[in-house]
Amino acid sequence: MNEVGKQLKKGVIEILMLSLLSREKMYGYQLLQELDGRSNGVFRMKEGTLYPVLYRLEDNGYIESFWEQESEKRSVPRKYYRITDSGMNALISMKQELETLFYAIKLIID
Amino acid sequence: MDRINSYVDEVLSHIIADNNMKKRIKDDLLIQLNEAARTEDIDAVIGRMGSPKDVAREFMDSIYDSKSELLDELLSDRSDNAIFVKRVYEYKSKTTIFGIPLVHIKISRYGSPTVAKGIIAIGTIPVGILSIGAIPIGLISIGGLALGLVAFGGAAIGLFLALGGIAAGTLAIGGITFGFGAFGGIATGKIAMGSIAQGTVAIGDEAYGEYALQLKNIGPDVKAEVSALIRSALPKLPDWIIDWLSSIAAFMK
Repeated sequence: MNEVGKQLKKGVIEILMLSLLSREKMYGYQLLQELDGRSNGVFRMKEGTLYPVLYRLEDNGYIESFWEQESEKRSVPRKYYRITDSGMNALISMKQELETLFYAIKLIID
Repeated sequence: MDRINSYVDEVLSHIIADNNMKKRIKDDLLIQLNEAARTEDIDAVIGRMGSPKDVAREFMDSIYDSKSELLDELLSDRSDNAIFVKRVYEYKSKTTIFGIPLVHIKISRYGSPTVAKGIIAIGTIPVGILSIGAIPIGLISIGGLALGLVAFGGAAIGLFLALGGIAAGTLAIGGITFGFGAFGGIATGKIAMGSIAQGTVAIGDEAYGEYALQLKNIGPDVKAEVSALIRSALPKLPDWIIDWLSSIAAFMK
């Protein structure tokens, strides 16, 4: 992907993560897999990209992390992320902005 | 586990960020790698992640939106890399006593001198109960130019005791000394003992004062002679001090 594509991806990654977490709680590796799988590989990213975004979202109060023991079979708890109320509001706002942006782009390009 | 730890440590060594960020990265990388290692060969997992430098580059690319942000971090006090980039190294312990850090270290490599303040202070200008550094100030000071109740240094000024190349204090011991009790190569004081001594009571190879005694003129019982001299000059001085001083003179002889 060229530089423009990279920058565009960077710009939407927070919305995508919030969107995924608005459906269910997820752990780090799961987020990577979901982004990759649901986008047919377009949003295939590495840990170095994922985690700083998660930290930003967490610092802004849009998501929170917690430890959960999945089952008795699995002795080690996992670190999960879930969206907060503030995050849901931010997601709605971001989606609206994105729609506005896409509409404006379409007007110019078409 | 060692393989994972050393890989993560190597990634972190290439990342320029504040300690909080680096801790978060370390925790998450360890979680992810340990998780993956349950079902896969760890070398394969690490191979897929990439070299530590590449992983570090990805993190920094995501952490810093612009070059100026990276420069800000490089030049900040929070960065671990400050020791390599900035002129100042600083460490302050979280433990405090009456609000004062237990340990404060602040050293400037060059440029303006920096002050460290703590119970134990170490640095260019440390101020504390125990101060160690270039110009230490404290109860016990050790350093280049030491100031304190007890001072040890190249040059030392001690309210009670000073020990140094040049020493000044109630009790001064060293090369060139000034004090109530001065002992050294060149000693000046109320009671001075040394190669060259000058004072109310002066004892030495060369002695100048109201009560002066040249070592070559002292008989076999040095202690007794010196005691008598000091007692006549300073009759109110406690016996134990006179005893101690005369023992030093006997040692010098």
